[in-house]
Amino acid sequence: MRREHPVFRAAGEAERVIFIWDDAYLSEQGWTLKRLVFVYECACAMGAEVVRGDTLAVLKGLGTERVYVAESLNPFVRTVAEGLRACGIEVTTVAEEPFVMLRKGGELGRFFRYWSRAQRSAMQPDAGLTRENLFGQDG
Amino acid sequence: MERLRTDFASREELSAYIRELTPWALGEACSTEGGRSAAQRALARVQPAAYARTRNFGDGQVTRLSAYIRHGVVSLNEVRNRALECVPRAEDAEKLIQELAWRDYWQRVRAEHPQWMWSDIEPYKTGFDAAEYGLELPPDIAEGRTGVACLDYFIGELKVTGYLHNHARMYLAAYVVHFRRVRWQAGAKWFLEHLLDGDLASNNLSWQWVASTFSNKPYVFNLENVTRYFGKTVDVRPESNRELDASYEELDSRLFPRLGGMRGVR
Ligand SMILES: Cc1cc2nc3c(=O)[nH]c(=O)nc-3n(C[C@H](O)[C@H](O)[C@H](O)COP(=O)(O)OP(=O)(O)OC[C@H]3O[C@@H](n4cnc5c(N)ncnc54)[C@H](O)[C@@H]3O)c2cc1C
Repeated sequence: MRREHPVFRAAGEAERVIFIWDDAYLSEQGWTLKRLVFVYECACAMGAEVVRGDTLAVLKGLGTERVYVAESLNPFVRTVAEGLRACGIEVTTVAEEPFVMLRKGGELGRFFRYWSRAQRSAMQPDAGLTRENLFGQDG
Repeated sequence: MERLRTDFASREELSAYIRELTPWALGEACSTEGGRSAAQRALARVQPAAYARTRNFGDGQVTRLSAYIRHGVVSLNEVRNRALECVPRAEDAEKLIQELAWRDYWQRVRAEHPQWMWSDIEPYKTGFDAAEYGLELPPDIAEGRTGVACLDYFIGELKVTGYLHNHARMYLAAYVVHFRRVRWQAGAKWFLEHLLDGDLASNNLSWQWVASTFSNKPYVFNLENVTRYFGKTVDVRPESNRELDASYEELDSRLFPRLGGMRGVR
């Protein structure tokens, strides 16, 4: 949740930034008030429109042909994206800036195995990538 | 489609508004401010060299960036870049960068094995079967009245601030799983309700690490360890922390009687 996230670069100028306050989703998370306040404050600070409703219904109701979303491991985000695609809305998922480029080497394994493949890249600004590569990683 | 307010005169006003929106939510707002400017202020305070020296201590120079990182308000890349900028030699930032890498690592584990988030990855290496662990978090833990002063202090902090130092998280997790013999899932769920940085991968996999379902031996601690790292800020008197006041040998035989003192060398 920041305007510097590559998803905004991908969406370009015409974007409308929407944060959906989905009561059903949020109450399922079981978060206490402090986290809800924190998250809401982040959305306001980012200059997003905050819209209340069911995520899929809100997005469908926008009448837009294309939605950009930040990549996430959250299965809910995938379900929503599938729901949008099913009604003909194009969904572009944009990855976060990479933190490391792992050297090739099979399975992830435990942390120190990962670190031996990650260290060189991790110790360089922008993971040792050029700015172009850094932001060109559409998912 | 209902548009919600985004202009507030104060944080109090914002909190009151959210309370009305979410009458089901428990607890109170906390003092950690959301948003990019607050995150940038925290980022500007990062001191990689001091971090490397003091991060294990309760009053050490940790970054407190976790809630911002978790919610994408700053990226791991930005924190790493900032860390490299403010040290004369890259090695001086390595400890911090390695901790950032732990987050990246847990996310990758989750991406590869989403089914690991709530199930035991391996059996417990405690001498006990998973079925021998309680399913629910005991109410005295949830309420912070375990009778162990330092733990009750940490629980209060978790509930009020939504943040805990890494060591305090390890202590509470070890207490829940090993001292009280409750499944890690119950504790992980409890943490996720309270932590502003609550993250399925970092949290649940760390709980599994403490529990030994994702490590080779259970993590335990004693009062001496708490005293070393938190002695300046927390009540660590033996009379208020009896359950923890023991040597590791004593704890091993008390907590893992079936292992015959073979929990492994720390
Ligand atoms: C039982 C348990 C539960 C945890 N639950 C969470 C959680 O829900 N969310 C979460 O972000 N972290 C979790 N952690 C990891 C760690 O405790 C916190 O990330 C850290 O304490 C946050 O404080 P900080 O920002 O001051 O960290 P710093 O020490 O300043 O580290 C900087 C950043 O690196 C990352 N980081 C550091 N250590 C770890 C680690 N061990 N694992 C993953 N990332 C790390 C975090 O993003 C952190 O903000 C948990 C650890 C344990 C033992």
